[in-house]
Amino acid sequence: MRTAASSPLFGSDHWSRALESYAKATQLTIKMFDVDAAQILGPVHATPLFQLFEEKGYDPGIFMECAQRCLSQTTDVRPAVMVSEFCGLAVIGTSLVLDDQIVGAAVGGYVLVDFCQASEAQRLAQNSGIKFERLWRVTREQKPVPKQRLLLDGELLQVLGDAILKENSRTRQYGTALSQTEAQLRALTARLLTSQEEERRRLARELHDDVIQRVAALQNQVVRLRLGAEGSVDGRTDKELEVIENGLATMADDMRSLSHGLHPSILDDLGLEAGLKQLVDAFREQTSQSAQFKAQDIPNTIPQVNATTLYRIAQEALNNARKHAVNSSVVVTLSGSSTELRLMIEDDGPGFNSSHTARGLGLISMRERADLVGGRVIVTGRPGRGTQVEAIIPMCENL
Amino acid sequence: MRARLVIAEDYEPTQYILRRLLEPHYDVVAVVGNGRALLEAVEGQHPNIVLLDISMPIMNGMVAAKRLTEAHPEVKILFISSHAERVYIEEACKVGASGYLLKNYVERELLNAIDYILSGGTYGLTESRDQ
Repeated sequence: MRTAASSPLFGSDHWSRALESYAKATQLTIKMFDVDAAQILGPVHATPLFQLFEEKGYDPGIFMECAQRCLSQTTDVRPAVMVSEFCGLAVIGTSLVLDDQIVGAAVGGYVLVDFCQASEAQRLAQNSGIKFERLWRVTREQKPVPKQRLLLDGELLQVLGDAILKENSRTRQYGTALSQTEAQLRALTARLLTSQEEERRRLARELHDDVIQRVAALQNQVVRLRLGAEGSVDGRTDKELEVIENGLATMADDMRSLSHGLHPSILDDLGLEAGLKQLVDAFREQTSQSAQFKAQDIPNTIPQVNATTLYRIAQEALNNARKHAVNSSVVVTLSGSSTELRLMIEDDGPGFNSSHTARGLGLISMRERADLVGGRVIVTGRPGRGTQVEAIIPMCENL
Repeated sequence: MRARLVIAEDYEPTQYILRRLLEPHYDVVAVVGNGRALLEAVEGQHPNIVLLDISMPIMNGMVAAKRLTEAHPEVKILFISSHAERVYIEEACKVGASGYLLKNYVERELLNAIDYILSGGTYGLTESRDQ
């Protein structure tokens, strides 16, 4: 039997829930068929008569026959409800129509129709190999149904089926539109992150390669002036020059911080391992928290895009630890193989309730970054058990 | 006899400052703008010491220093850099440098630093001007 999931129109919880309620209310067993008359859902709610036939391995063939008749109808007029009968045994069926196309059929049974002759029931018992008394007892238990009621049940099944199909189709269209929007949004985020990183790198380089060097040159010039003028200028002038010298030194430090904040050129100069170590050193010094960096099996060359991604994720995770895991110990571990890189940032702080933190912007940005290079970020933590942020990214070509 | 010295620095104004400071005291036998050119210059000029920037095009100073130490362990290396983070100094030690000096302290400290290093000592490798 194929499952309902084989077709998106039938693969939803709506069907099983609605059919379950319908089958219980009408005391029918329901089966659904696709446009090729292959069964795709059911049996839903096995009635005593259905169970008895199943137990005996008997199939009078009227489910399938009814389904085929429903499917062979045309949709010029709304197709009628079909009844298939055999020896007083009946099923009702309806085609399922979406946008004027028959897309499947739903069939419900078995019941004995009211006023079924005892001779017919006996013939049924003979055909099925079931003792007449037993068959009769079961049909009494299930109660025979007047044909008019059966037709009403069929019409109800028709209305229900059409409504669910329409709903599923709408959900599917909505889902497609939604995933298109999501894909566009992700592409946009990726472009945004890449261009932001590029722009920051450019500014940082500009600062480092030009402005900081010029400030350094100025500071050196002032020193030269002071050393050259030693003894020939008054103390006050020398003091002024010293202030300028110290001011330039402070300015160089500030610009180094600014440049480093914009883009960690340490990644280009020394690589990811040194970059992460420096990040952990800075965290330890700024927070006075215990922090350790470990590296295991790091590949010799790590593509720049991977290095930047993991560095930014570590930066974000350490920011979180600084805010939410005050006084905790932090361990940052970088490990790798020829195919992937793993970065783990663990703290033994108060942890978090995952349902609350899942929406945090920091986490979204970490995931976006990992996603950009085909990786993923897993954040785990429970109240009182610390937090673990793990980023796994495949080794990719240098971008 | 004056010590022989090579400068590897891609920023021309800094090259100028270094030359002006050093030429009265040492033989500046080559001034190059990247790590690869430095390795070539060392082969031809046999310097006693090289002054090396870190962030340079083609081959950065750290990679060049590592290769230089492997091929010519007798040549002393003094990094002249704008990077103040401790991890840079630690890396400098790892690649076999004898000294590390920030660019804005060149005028005040460079000659001293070279003297220390040429007489077998190290300069600026233990302290840090970390941010």
